[in-house]
Amino acid sequence: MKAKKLLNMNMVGLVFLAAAFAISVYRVMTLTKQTTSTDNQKIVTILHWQLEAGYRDSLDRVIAEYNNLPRVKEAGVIVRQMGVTERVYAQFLNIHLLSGTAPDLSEKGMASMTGGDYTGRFYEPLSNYATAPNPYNNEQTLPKDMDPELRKVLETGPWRDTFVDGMRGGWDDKLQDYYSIPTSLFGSYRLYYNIPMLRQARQMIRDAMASDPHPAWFADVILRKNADGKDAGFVSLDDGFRQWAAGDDVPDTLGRLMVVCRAIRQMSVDTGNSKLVPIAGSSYSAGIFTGQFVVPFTYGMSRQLDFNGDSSVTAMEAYAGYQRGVWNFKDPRIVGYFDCVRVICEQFPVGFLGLDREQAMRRFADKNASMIATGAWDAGGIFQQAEGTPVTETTRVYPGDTVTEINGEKRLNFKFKVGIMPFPMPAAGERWGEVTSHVRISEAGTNAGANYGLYQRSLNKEWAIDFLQYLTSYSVNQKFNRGADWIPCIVGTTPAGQMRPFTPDPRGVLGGARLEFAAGGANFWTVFQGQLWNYELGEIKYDQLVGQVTDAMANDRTGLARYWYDTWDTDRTATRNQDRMLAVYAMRMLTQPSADATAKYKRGLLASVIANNGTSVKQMWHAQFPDKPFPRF
Amino acid sequence: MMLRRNPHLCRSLLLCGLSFAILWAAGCNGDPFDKEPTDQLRQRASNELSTFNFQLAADMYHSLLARTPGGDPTRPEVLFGLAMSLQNVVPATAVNIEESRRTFEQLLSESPTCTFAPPATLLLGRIAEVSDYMDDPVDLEGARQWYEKVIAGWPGQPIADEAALRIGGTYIQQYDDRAAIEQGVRYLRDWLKDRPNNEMASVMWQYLGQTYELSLDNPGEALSAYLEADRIGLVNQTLAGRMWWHMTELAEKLGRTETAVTYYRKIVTEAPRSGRAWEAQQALRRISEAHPEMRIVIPELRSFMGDAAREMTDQPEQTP
Repeated sequence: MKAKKLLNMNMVGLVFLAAAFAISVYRVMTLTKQTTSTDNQKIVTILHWQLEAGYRDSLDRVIAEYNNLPRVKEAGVIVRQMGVTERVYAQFLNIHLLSGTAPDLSEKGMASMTGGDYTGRFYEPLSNYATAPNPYNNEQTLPKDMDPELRKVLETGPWRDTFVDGMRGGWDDKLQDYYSIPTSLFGSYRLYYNIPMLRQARQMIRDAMASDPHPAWFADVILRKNADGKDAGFVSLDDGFRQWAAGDDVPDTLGRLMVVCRAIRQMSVDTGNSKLVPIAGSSYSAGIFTGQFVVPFTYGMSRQLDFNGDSSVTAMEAYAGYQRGVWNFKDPRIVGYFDCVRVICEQFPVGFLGLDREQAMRRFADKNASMIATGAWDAGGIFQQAEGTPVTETTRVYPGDTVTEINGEKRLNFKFKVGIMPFPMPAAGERWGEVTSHVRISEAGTNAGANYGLYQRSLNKEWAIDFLQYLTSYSVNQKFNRGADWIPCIVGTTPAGQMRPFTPDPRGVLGGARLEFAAGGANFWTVFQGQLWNYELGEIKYDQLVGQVTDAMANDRTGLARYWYDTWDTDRTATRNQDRMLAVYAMRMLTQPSADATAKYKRGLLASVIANNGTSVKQMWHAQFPDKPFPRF
Repeated sequence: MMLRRNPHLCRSLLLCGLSFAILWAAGCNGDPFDKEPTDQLRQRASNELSTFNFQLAADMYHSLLARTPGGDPTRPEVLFGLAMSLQNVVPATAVNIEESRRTFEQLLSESPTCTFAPPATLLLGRIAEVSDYMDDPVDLEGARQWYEKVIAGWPGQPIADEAALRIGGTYIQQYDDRAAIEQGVRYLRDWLKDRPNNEMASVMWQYLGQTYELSLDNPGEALSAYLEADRIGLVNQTLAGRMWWHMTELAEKLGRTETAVTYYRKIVTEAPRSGRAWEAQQALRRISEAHPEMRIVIPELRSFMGDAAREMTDQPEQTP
């Protein structure tokens, strides 16, 4: 009876609750104290979701150096970083923006309230800073032997001109102002590959070529027509192929890449390693491949599709083109594209759409895939997992760890050397060679990223900007990005050696000059996307995909007619929003005149008038179907 | 009876009543801005409007209007701010738009010559022209009348040019009426003839170019209009490279090879980040081969990074 009284479970629960509450209060108070400015101390907080290996450490080093600058110390300024996983970043930032407690600087993106009209509401326009020089690019900080012209740009030019992209990454086209400052250049997607494994695959190819008859797997890659008249295989055994196979170059055409992939699959059979696949595909990387290859297959039709000649084919223009017969699902370019998509997906693990980015990276690092497609932001993680870390005096070596000497350097847990290559494109004389334009996407327009915006209600705006100026000064930006295994974004800087393959290649065509299938918001697109996943996974054939999609497109209530109407409605709303923007510019011109207010107003006005009061979609319809009334729902 | 039998229900109802009373009292505590100094509130209202907080700005301007009597020098600004905020509140409603219209008209009747009068007149035109909410009728004729008032009231000023542009737009947006489109085009061309260097000339030429091309199927006039816009200076320099690319397409279609070459060169040298530079370079090579007599100098692609990009573009191209 006594014991029962002593162990009153309600009381125990209450005690736990009280303890949890007390700990929470303590944590909230401690964290608030850490991030709140006082009379003697100004705390500048920088929030981001970049938890990739290297980024936080490198930013920590920059912050420590900045906090130690005499003028910063004297002012009692302390910069602190706050890394939040991308899974909750949006919720975290949205709540703090709304409640007025957002960090001084936050990485823009992910959270809905960092974009659209919210940008103007929560973030500070930065034109005034962008047009003035960056004080941290000066005689003391710039290298002595720097090109005088470059030095002049960095020292005296506007801050925006010191960025390789002219600070375009921070420009908000709708609001016509700079609302964030980029800090790194992401470059574009590339293929990371396991160097020894690809070398082994090439040896297999050489051996197979030399043997007579060729082994079955190799005979399978030779380009031919099947009994049903369809293309099979990938390459012709011509001099070009033989020359390539004899050398050490990476696959430079899609056909050659597919031959390597076939060799890797054979390697999986020969070694009994059923986990080994050519490419570590995942739900993340499927779109990377389809995005890269849609351009060479459909670039040729882009001029016919681009109704308003603005160099970008919208989904509405694409499906309008479908209706007037510019393309159809029997068009060899479209058939070839979907065939290519399917063949690439065959190189991924079974059920790859259920795998995420981390799982794919682990598969690659564990030597269960010879390649992986991703961007520069994953380089640090991939290099660290595959090539290990340098062994220093402070490195702890635990049982089970390995230390390997590579080129005179000791590395902890080294597995293999990683190479990086661009996506090889379909070439003439290979499969798909006759139905593509032999072009790739130009990376000339690549904007810098990892943009930080300044919170409008920040109490330390000037210091927050000062820190961004420090972070994006020539020497610091180069050091910071090299430390993070990222690419610096300031003119004249160079990335670390292993990151050079990510440098934007200006050769190629505009990414928007292609057929845009993704009709976001359209009912038939939901069907299209769902069936496309089934097709990519090999669960349905192309004919079935096409049947489902064309049925959905033909539906009277939810098909293409509805898409026309919905696009017009969206356009109408966008035009109205454009007027809201003009209202804001007009008010600024009248009450807070600035030098560039008129120019901004004119740009907004142009966008407003050419939209023809939201009738552009109807105009396109009328041009295409002059005798048919516009659909109404 | 039921309440007597069920004390829980009774307590719940009591709590509901109390909550309602508290909420009602909170909603009736009058003007939330009444303690804020007028100048400070006016500044804040303007800032809120500038940052797209239209509803909050409207509430603030309502508060300001109550304490800004007729004859107060700041009253036009308050009326204009209120009308503009109401016009732009999301979602737009018939009540807000109607109050906005009345407030703009009040401003015009109280202070017909103030700084805010011309934009207020123009915006009354926009209210008539744009369909703001479901079933809001588009009144193009009514809109034109307001725009005409801007032109008559403030001739020679940039806002008159904007009003002229809007008048042209009221005709051109009638996409299925070729006569109306032609009337809009004539109106803008006449305006440009009288005021060739007007503030909106480049916008007008670009708009004319688009209209000739998409609505009147006249690529020759379209190219001429785009060339004129470019001569004055394209309004959106960020998209200049794409505009120039489109001009090369038209020029090649019309057989105006020299114009095409000029603009291909401009793309490579002046718009290297447009994403069209490499294609422009290829086009120059093609034209150069077909017309060696033109002695075309093909500019190099510009790189953006330091040595790394130079090394990359020095490598042979990977596409066959």
